[in-house]
Amino acid sequence: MTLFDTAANVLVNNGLVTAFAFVGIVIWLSYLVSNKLTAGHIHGSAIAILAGLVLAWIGGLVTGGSRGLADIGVLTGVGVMGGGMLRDFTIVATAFGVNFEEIRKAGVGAVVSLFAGVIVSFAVGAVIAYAFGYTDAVSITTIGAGAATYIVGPVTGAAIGASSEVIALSIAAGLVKSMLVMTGTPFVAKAIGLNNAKSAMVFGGLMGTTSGVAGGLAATDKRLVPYGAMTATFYTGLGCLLGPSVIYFTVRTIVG
Amino acid sequence: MLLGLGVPRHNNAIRNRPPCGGSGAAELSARAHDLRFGEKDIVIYGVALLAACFLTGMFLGDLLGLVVGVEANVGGVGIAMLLLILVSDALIKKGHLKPVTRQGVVFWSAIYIPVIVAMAARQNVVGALDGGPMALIAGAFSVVACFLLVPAISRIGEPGEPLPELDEEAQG
Repeated sequence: MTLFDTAANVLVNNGLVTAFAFVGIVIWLSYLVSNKLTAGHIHGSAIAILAGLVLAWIGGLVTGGSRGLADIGVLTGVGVMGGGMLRDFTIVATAFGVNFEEIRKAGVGAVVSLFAGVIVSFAVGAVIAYAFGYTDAVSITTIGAGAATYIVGPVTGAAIGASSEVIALSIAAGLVKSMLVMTGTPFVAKAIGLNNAKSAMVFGGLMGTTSGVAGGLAATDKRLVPYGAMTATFYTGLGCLLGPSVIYFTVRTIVG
Repeated sequence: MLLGLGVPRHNNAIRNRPPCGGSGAAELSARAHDLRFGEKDIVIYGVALLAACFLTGMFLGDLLGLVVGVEANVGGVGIAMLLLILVSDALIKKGHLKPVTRQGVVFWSAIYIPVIVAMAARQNVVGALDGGPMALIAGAFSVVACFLLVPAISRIGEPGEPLPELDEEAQG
C-alpha cells in the first residue's frame, strides 16, 4: 500500500509532468486505433481529441466536478497542460512560418466572417430559446450568446441580468458547440472547402470557439490551425461587445 | 513539417542549410558576427521571442477590451500571432534567427496538439450534456449554420489556393 501511495504522491506532486506522460499515452493509443481500426481514415489527432472529451466525461461523472479529468487527483496536471495559458502560448507558436500575404488576402472575408458568425449564432440560439418557451429578451439574448461561445454567454447574461439557470444553459449551449466543432470539422472539411488558408480564416471567424476551432482544424490539417485560430481569437471579444448592446436591443425591440 | 505552409522563399533557403558546419561565405560571416557579438544561436532566445510576442499581444488585447468597454481580451492571441509573424520574418531576413533559436519556437508549435488533447480532457462534458435538449439543439444548429456559411464567405475576394497534398510523415 505504501508503495502505491508513494507512486501516487510522485504523480500528484509533479502534476504537469504526469500530464505530459498521460497525454503522450493517450495520443499513442489514438494513433494505434487510427492505423489499426480505421486504416488511417480518421486521423489520429481527431481520435485523440475525441478520447480527451470521453475521458473528460468520465472524469465529470466520477468526481462530479466541472473540469473533466483534471478533477481526478493524480491528473490535475492535465488541467494545467490544457489550460488557457499553454493553449494560447502554443497557438501563438503555430503562427511561426505563416505567410503574412495569406492573411492579408483573407482580410475582408475574415472580418465579414466574424460579424456573420456572431450574428448567425446569436440568431439561431435565440430562435431555439424562443421555441423552447423563453419569451423575455434577457433569456433569449443570453441563450443566443451561449450559442456564440461559452464565454460570450455568461458575459452577456451577467451584463443584462439573466438568471443563473439561463446562464448555465447558455454555457451548456456553448460547450456543445465547441465539442461539435472539435469533432465534426474533419468530417465536413472537404464539403465546405476547408483546404486553404483563406477558408480556414473564414472558418475561424464563423465558428469563434477558440478551443473548437483549434481542435477541429488540428484534427483536419494542422497547417490550417494558425489561420483559423487567428480570427477565432477576435470572436469572443466581438461577441461580448455586440451581445449586451446591439443584439440585446434588437431582441428587445422584436419580442417587446 | 508545420513550417511547410506558405513559408517565404528566403526562409526555405535558410532552413535547408545544414545547422552547422556549413562552409559558405554566409556561414563564415555569421561566425565572424558571433565572434564580435557573442553567441547568437541559443534555444531560449526563440522561446523568449515567442513569450515576448505572446505577452505583448495579450496586453494589447486587454487594452483593446478596455477601450471598447468589454470585460474580455479582444484578439490578444491573434495580435500575438501577427507580431510573431512580422518580427520573426524581419529577423530571418536579417539572418538573426538561427536554426537552434528557431527550435525554441518550433517545439511549442509541435506540442500544440497534445495541449489541445489535454484541453479536451478538461472540458465540462457532463455540464454540456446536462443542459438538456435545448442546449444541445442550440449548440448543434449554430454549428451547422456556420459550417454552411464557410464556402459562401470564402468566396469573397480572391480565391484561396489549396494547400499542397500532405505525405503521411508530415502530418504526424
